[in-house]
Parts: sequence; C-alpha cells; structure tokens
Amino acid sequence: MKPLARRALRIAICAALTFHLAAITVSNLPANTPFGAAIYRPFAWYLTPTGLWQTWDMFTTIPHFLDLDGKLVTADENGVVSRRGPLLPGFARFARTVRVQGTFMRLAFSADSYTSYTRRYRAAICRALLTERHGAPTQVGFELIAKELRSLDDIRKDGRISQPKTYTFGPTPCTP
Amino acid sequence: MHPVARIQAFLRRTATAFGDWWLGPADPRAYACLRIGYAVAAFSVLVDFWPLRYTLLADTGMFGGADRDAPIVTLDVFRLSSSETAVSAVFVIAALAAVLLALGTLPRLTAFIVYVWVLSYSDTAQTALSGFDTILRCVGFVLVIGPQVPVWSVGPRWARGSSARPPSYGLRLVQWQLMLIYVCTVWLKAPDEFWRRGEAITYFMMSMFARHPSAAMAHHAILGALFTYATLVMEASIPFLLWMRKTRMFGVLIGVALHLGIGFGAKLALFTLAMMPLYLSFFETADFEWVASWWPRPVSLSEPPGT
Repeated sequence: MKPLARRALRIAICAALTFHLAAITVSNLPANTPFGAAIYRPFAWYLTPTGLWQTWDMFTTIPHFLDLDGKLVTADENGVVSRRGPLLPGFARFARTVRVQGTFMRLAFSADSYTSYTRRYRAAICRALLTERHGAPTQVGFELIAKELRSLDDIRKDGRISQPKTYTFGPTPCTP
Repeated sequence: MHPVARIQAFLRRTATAFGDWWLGPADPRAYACLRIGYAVAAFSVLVDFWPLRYTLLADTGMFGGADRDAPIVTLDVFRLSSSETAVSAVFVIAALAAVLLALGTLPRLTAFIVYVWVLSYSDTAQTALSGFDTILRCVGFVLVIGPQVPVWSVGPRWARGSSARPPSYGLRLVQWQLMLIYVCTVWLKAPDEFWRRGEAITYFMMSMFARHPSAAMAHHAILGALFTYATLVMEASIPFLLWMRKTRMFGVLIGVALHLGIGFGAKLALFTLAMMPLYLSFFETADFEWVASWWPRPVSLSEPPGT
C-alpha cells in the first residue's frame, strides 16, 4: 500500500474508533442536560442496530423489596376466583430470579416504558386462558405480592426487615 | 524554531501519539484473556437463561415471542421464528459457539454468533435485561470487530485467529467501556440520599438481591457506612488505577475484591463474571510477566537442583 493511502486508512480507522467512543459516552448522558435529547441524534443510527445503547443506573438507590412473588387472579363467568402462576407456557409459578423479578417490576412500576410488553402479556394470558376454557369468557388480574423493606430505624426497634404489601392490577376481561 | 513550525510539530506528535494509542502493538495474550473470559461469561448467562427461554422468548411464552409489529432496529433471529424448537436451537448453537470461542476456534465467526444471540434476546425480552446483558452486547461487538489472535487457541491453524501482533484498538474500546461503567454508576449514585448517608449497602444486604438477607446489618451502622463509602471510593478509583501502569495491579486487586464481594454476597454472580474480562483488557506484556513471576516454575527433571 502506498504511504499516502496507508496514512489515509490510518486516519479513517482512528476517526471511526473515536466515533465509537463518543457514541457510547454520549449514550450515558442524561436527557435533561442543556444539550437535550438532540445530542443522541448523531449517534442513534449507530447505537441502536449494534445494541451499544447503555445506562449504568443499577442500584443508584436502595432496593425496595426483600421478596417479590406474583400471581394471576382469574374469575370465571360464575365469579369463582382462583389464583395461579403468572408465567407462560403452562401458568408456571413465579420464579424468584433476577430476570423474572426484573420483568414484573418493570411491567408493574414502569409500564409506560414497556406498553408493548404489557399489552402482549395480557393478550398472551387471555389467549392461554381462553384455550384452556374452550373460549368461555373470563376475567384476569395480577397480584404482585411484595415484602417491602422497612426503614432502618424501624428494623432496629423490632428486627423485622419487611412488611407485606400487595399491588393489584386489573381485572381485565378476556373475551374470544 | 518558528512558532508556527513548533505548533505544527506539536500537532504532528500529538496525531502520531493518538494513532499509536489506537493502533500500536498490544500483547496478544490480553486479547486471548478477553476472548476466553467473555466466552465463559456468555456461556454462564446462557445456562442461567435456559430454564426461562420459552417464558421470555418463545411464542408460547409471556409475550408471544418477538414483537413483529415493531420496526426492525437490530438483528433479532427470534423475529424469524419464535417456536419453542427454534428458540432451543438458537440457544444450543450459541452455547456451542461460546465453547468454540473459549477454545479460540473460528473466533470471529463464533464471537459473531454469540453477539447475535445476545442482540436477539435483548431485543425480544427487554423487560428481563440486566447490567451483565449490556456488557455482553458491548464487549461482544468489540470481539466481532477486533483483532483475533492465535494465542491460547486450539484447532487447525486456518481456524485460529491470524493477528499475531495485534493493534491495541480492541482493548482500548473495552478499557473505555469499563471506565464508562464505573464513572457513570458513581455519577448516578453519589447524589442519592442513601448512598450519601452511608446506608445503601445496609439496605442492599437486607434486600432480595442479597444471598442471605439479614437484619444484622441494620444494627451495625458504622460497618454499613464503611461498606457503602468504600464501594463508592472503589468504583470511582478503579478506572484511573487501571489506566496507570504503576497502580494497575492495585486496581485489579480492589476490582476483584469488589466483584467477588458482589458475586458471593449478592445474587449477581453473572455480573461479576461479565465484568472480570474487562479488567484483563488493561494487561500489557509487563503485567503478564509480573503475574508469571508469581507462578511456580516447573521443575525440570533433567536439571539437578541448584544448577
């Protein structure tokens, strides 16, 4: 390769790599800076398809729960209520894993950011219930059963880490 | 020298140094360590994900598979098929690719397969993602575009990496990534009232993320504050300690201590596994030699002791 072409290639490679650093750095800037969301625009075409978007906001404040469990609450046409596992396929029991607990915390407390997932979860649950009940209409809701952490002062008084708290969502009708 | 000529010379020197920072030679063992560590982390994440693969990714699962109505923004193989068989097949192929990547066989192809698997589940199951998934995506991309080295590889020569004297750019990208992780997390944690009051680790150790939640920490306020502030200090200092040759091993030591603490004290061992390879991207030849100097030398049977 000729020296000039070699030099041009070296400059191009360095420029591309610097762009990568700039892109991943800018993706971490908060949206409320004076630059606004416009600062992401020059890099979005690169970050989105490559999956390089990132935020490192894990545990930026304290966790709120000692435990999380979840149950589907179904009511048939006669009003008979039953509780069952919220995981598909097969209405499996709530799994206490980072992925499942993270999923339900996002669906419950950040629903606005995950509207498509909330809608698809409801649709999948209704589909499975209607199949199981041969098309008979039913209602479905969700209970997120939490053990909420108490304040340090309260824990020091009686040694109890948490108090029970249930978050209820729904019910929503499932019709064929 | 004329002032303009001096400025020109300075700019030329800076440009050369900048180019060398990216493209100067690196120790191939650092790339090999990164590749092996990444493959182990990816395989572990896959094993952890396996029981939930239908629940989160298949069309029989919670979300009915990938959202085919959403615009295509990235590579997502689960858009092609989300049947249980297809999802399992993707996982088996990704597992095989991770093993071959660790062995250094067809490293670029296998890194690409693992990266596409991570991209695909990240696109399909965004609600279930965690910090270690982001690390796998970002480092996976670097492995795909970075130099592939023949060091610590098995298989025929044609199937190994070919870059015997690799340029540094792949390692630089990973080094910057590690720095961003720590700088951003400290930036976001520092204004929080619980971190400021020195109570964050106490609450964490009583939460669902702790391996053995216990009220005992609540009665040791000073210990909790020490852990909380030490975490912030370590996270703030690690990237800078790693950049400098003289303090690098100290940076590695406190980084390993921090992440082993997270791995054993919290249910976040996958995060520890995903972070560790990033540290190895800072290793230079002198660092490998320093580590080797601690390794017991094999005793040669043909050499009598004392020769």
